[in-house]
Amino acid sequence: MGKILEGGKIDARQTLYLLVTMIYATLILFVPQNTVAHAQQDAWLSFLVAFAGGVLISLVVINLSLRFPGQTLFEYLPRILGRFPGKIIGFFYVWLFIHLCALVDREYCSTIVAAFMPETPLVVFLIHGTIMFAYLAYSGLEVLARLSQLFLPLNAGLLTILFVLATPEMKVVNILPVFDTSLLSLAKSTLTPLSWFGEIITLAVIIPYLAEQKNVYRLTIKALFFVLVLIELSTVGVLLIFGPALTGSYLFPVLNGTKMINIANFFERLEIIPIVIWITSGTVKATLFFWAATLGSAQLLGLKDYHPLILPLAVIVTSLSYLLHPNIIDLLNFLTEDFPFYALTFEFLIPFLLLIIVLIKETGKK
Amino acid sequence: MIFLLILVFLFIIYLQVPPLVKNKMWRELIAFAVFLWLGMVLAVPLVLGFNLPSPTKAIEAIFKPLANWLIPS
Repeated sequence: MGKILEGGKIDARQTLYLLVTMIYATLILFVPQNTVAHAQQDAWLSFLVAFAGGVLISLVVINLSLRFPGQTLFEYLPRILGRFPGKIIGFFYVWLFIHLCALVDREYCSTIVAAFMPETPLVVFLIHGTIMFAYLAYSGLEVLARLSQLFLPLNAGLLTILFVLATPEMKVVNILPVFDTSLLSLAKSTLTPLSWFGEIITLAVIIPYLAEQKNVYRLTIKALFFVLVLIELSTVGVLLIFGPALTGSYLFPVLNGTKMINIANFFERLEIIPIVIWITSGTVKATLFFWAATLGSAQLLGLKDYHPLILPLAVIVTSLSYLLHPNIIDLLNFLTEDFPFYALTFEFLIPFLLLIIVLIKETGKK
Repeated sequence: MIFLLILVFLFIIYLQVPPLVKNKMWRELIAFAVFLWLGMVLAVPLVLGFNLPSPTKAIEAIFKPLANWLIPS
């Protein structure tokens, strides 16, 4: 215990990019459809509410983590709960990260299969994805952070360009009337994006590897805000093009929105761009969860090195992502109906209870 | 297919085990073996075509009452 397994350090800017990439990657892939299905044309409002909830979650997670400087979630769990219960909860978190990684892997591969290559077996893409992020996890956190630093400006720029190119197709009447949704549908529509914003729980594993920990609060809120901007850009863009009824029925609204772009019969068929955005950011996202799972299991078992666990866990993740869902509709139903409660249990409930226990027992640094 | 999978497992063992044995990292070796065994338990039935129960079903069973509330009308 106490020995640092991961040698890398990442600076403030890299952390910001890493956190933004981690959340927005699958957020703009699967969430707009469900949010619009609940909140209709007021979906942009539910992302604002989800952002507020995400800030709350990040405050809890950071406050908890800063009480145990230099330790990851997996190291301070036994300190809070006692050795045995702490390790059990720790393994639940390892499962969460493995599951999230398998889900992200599956989301991307299913998207490629469903939208572009319906004849190719899913497992081909899964194996390619796994080899990629096993290699990346082998390289460590620092490389991953640099990778997100490379991809995020490109992706954010491409998203903005897509939005601008699609403006001829947009009609403002599609998001009118404003504030027409009942409070209940708004609450329902908020849960799925909130569970994505809650993935900020991974910060509890990254925090010890930040070069400076003074500005973590500001940095995280800034990251969440960037995610909010990106998701609003894509959702509002799609809503303006299709209107709520059509957006709520598409499987990948952002992809369909991009297909609408046609400028002077020359700029068209740009749907490769969202795929580039999703694959590059999804690789970073899956790898981050995978890295957290390997590091976590190594720390829980008290190993000196986490690298030997990478390949076995990669096999587990590949099989899991194949096993989890029979098809993409099942995956989508799981993500929008069960996943919010399942994820928020780990992302908000458990950290919140841990924080209360820490405050009562007064363990850790003030 | 199954032979390919066994080849993959042998390759993983070939990559990881010799350095662990050389450095006498027995704890790591046991963890590696357990995780690889778990991976085998998941992967081999998939390749042979058995239907393993999906962990999703368990999660769905736990959160069913809440999840039903979230189905878009």
